[in-house]
Parts: sequence; structure tokens; C-alpha cells
Amino acid sequence: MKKFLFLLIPFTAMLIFSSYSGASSVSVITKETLKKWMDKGEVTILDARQGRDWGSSEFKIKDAHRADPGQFMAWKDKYPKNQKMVLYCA
Amino acid sequence: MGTKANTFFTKAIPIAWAMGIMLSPDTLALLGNFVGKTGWTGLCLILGSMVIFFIHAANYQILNQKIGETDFLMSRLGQLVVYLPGSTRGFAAIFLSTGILVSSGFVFNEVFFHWFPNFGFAILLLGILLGIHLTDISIGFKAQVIFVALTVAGLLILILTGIFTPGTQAVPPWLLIPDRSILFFGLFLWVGFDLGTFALDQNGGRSGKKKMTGTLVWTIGGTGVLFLLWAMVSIQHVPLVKLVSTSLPHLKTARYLLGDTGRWIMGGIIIFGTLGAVNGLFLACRVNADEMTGHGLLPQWIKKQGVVPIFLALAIGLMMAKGMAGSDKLEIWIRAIFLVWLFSYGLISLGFLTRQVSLANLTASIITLTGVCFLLLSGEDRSLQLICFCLTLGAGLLPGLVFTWKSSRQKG
Repeated sequence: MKKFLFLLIPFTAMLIFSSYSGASSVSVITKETLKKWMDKGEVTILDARQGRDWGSSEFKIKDAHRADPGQFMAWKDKYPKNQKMVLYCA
Repeated sequence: MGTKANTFFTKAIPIAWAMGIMLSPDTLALLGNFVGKTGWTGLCLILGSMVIFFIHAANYQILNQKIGETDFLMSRLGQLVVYLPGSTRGFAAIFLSTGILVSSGFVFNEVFFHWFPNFGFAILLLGILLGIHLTDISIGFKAQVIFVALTVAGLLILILTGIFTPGTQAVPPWLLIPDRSILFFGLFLWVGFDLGTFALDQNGGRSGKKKMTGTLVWTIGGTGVLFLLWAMVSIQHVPLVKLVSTSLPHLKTARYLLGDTGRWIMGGIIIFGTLGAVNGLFLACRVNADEMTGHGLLPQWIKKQGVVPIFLALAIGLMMAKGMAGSDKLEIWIRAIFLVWLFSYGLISLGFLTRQVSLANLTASIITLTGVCFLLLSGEDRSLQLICFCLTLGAGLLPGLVFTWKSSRQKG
């Protein structure tokens, strides 16, 4: 039991760290704002999720284009630059 | 009361262990996509593959009742292949577990609690499993029975709902087979059944062989009935095109059957199915390592309590942290590992043929090994799949090669 608790502490720490790390450096918008932009047709949405991050998710935003972050050069010119661009990932 | 409970667990452990991977969320997804592509024809192909696995299951029972997997491989096929099944299970324990734990994290986040981080839940599940494996092994066995029982219960609720609700989809009676490899696709459904054979050693050694007679074959039959019923319910309630186009056909079927309640039930099935598969693999790696250490094939320190589960948990944690689940390569690795696993079933059948030629084993080995070839040459990234297959196979054969070389030097 002691061993179990001993291991649970670092796991819990990892859990908390994993949820918040990196999030502060990215600009975030609310779903209401996105909906407004989508209704006006002034946004291109890129789904940057890959592998299971994409495959295991039940939710996909309508009209979102899949864009592999590792293949940036391949798709960077594909979308209009005069529009807002929203990327989302896991 | 306590004795009755113990008897129940003793009987249930091999069944639950064998069903662990077969009821994993990946297998359910594979089943849904498969019947989406093939319709009613798929049900016939599942039946066909089940017959082949009846033979494989009977083989594993015989070899475990007589001498055990390691001795069987050494005596019939030589020292070269002796590490192959164990190393394949080890690879599966790392790669498949990484994938399905992450998938469960998403399911927990999207079906149950949006505020709970998906990655956090995957890590939490891994932590719980590691905790279980740092205690007595019997806790792992009991947990396995509970995980699999809950998965089966959830599936049965959905299957019964589907059966008693009139189907809404008009399914064309027979679908054409899109390509030849799909004929063998059903073989993937049964990978992992052999884990149940390890329970023999845990239940009083090989002297208790009579207790095990038929258990694995019956487990294949029972799981086959579950697969067939679930496939039937899926094609009657969900348009085939939707079963093919999604990566979560099982969740889609559950939603078509019972709406949000169906999603919750399937969410539970996915989480407990993941726990059953990963716990089953952890148990198999531990017992397999013990057996191989006993034969002098692995160093003694591996046998120490905690070594195998801690190594596996660290490897899985590292794969998750490196974002492997977010890479398409993970799927290719899992498929390649499953192909090597199927290949080892084919080898075992061949091993039986070395002493006695039987039509059943001849058929099972030919179909399984041909299936591996066809499946290896299909899929989205064939070249990478072939590389992963060769690496997994090579990693399984290399220690055997070294062992053979060392033994021949000692004899010389």
C-alpha cells in the first residue's frame, strides 16, 4: 500500500503538469467567438491533431481541414492568408 | 463463502485473461470498420477466422498441458524462436497499451468529464495498473476478472438493446470484397487469446491440466458469439458507410442504439476494456518473464517483484510523453506487432506438424501464415509496416540467435 501511494504522488503530479504545461503561451479563443467567425465565413479552421489524438476523438469541428504540423511546408500555401486561421489540437 | 469466491476466480481467470486483448477498444474499432466494409459477408469471414482460432486455441491448450510454451518451442522449432512470443507480448504491452490508454483518456474527457484532461486520465489509469502490479500478483488476476466482466456486461446490455430494437438500416445482403487482404482481416480479432494459457501455471501447475480442458476453445467460442452479435447489431442500426468512415464505430453504434446513455455505456466498455487488455498484458509479461527466467533464458533479477511492471510503465509513460499516440506511426507499429503475433501462432501450428501431420493444423498454419503475408502487403504505409514487422520479428529472434550461438560454443 505504501509503495502504491509512493508511486501515486508522482503520477498525480504528472497529471496536473500535463494539463497545464504550455497552455499559457498560446492565444485562445472561446467557442462563441469561433461560432461567430464561422457564421460569417471568415475563418479557416485547421485540425492539427494526428494519430490517436484525432482518431480517438468523437468531436470534430465541421468544415475543419486536417493539417499535419510536421508537414507545414506542404500545406502552408493551401489556405487563404487574408482570412483568420484557427488551429486546434488535443 | 471465501472458498466459493476462490473457485469462481480460479475458473474465471483464464477466460478473463484470454479475453483481455480481444475485447480491447482497438479490436472493437477494427470489428466495426471491418463489418462496415463487408456487411453480412463480414460475419461469414469472422466465423471462418473463429474456426481457425479454435485450432490455435486447442494447440495452445495441448502444449501448455504437456510441456509449456518455452519447452515446446525449444523442442519442436529450436532455440532460435524461443524468445519470439514473449518479446512480441512485450512489444504489444508497450505499443498497444500506449495507444489504448490514450484513447481511454479521450473517451473519459469527451464522454464523462470535459474538465478532466485526457492525457491526465491516461496517466492515472497507468498509475492504477502499476499500483495493482506492485502488490501481490493475485490482485492482478482478480482485477482482470472484474475488468473483463464489466466490459462483457456493458457489451451485453448494448447487444440486447440492439436485438430487441428493430433495425433501421437496409443492408445489402452481400457485399463484394474490396481486396483480397480483407479475407484475412478477421484474424486480427483473436490476437491475444493465448494469454489465457498462462493461467494454467497459476492454477496448480501442469498437474491441474484437466481443469483447463476446453477452457480456451470455449472462450474463443464465447467471444466469437459476442463479436457476431455486436457486428449484427452494428450493421442493422448504423449505415455501413458511417461504420467505415469513423475511427470509433463502436461508439457510433452505441449512440445510434441508446443516444447519450449508449455513449456512457460504451465509454465504460472502452475504459474497462483498456484496463483488461493492459492488465492482461502486464500479467502475461510478468508470468512469461518468470517462466523464461526458470529456463535460464533471462537473468534472475528480472524475476524480482516490480521489475517487469515498472519497466513497462516507464516505457509506456515515455511513449505517451513523447507524443507517440499523436503519431500515425503508432498504428503501423501496433498492426505490425499483431502480424508478428499471428506469425507466431502459425509457427506453433507448424511445430505440431513436425511430429504429426493433421489436416486441422495444416489448414490453420497455411491460412494464418498466408493471411500474415496478405495483410503485410496491405494497409496505408506498407513499406513502414514491413520495416516495423521485420524489426519486431528481428528483436524476437535476435536473443534466440545469441542463445543458440552461446549454447553451441559451450558444447563445443
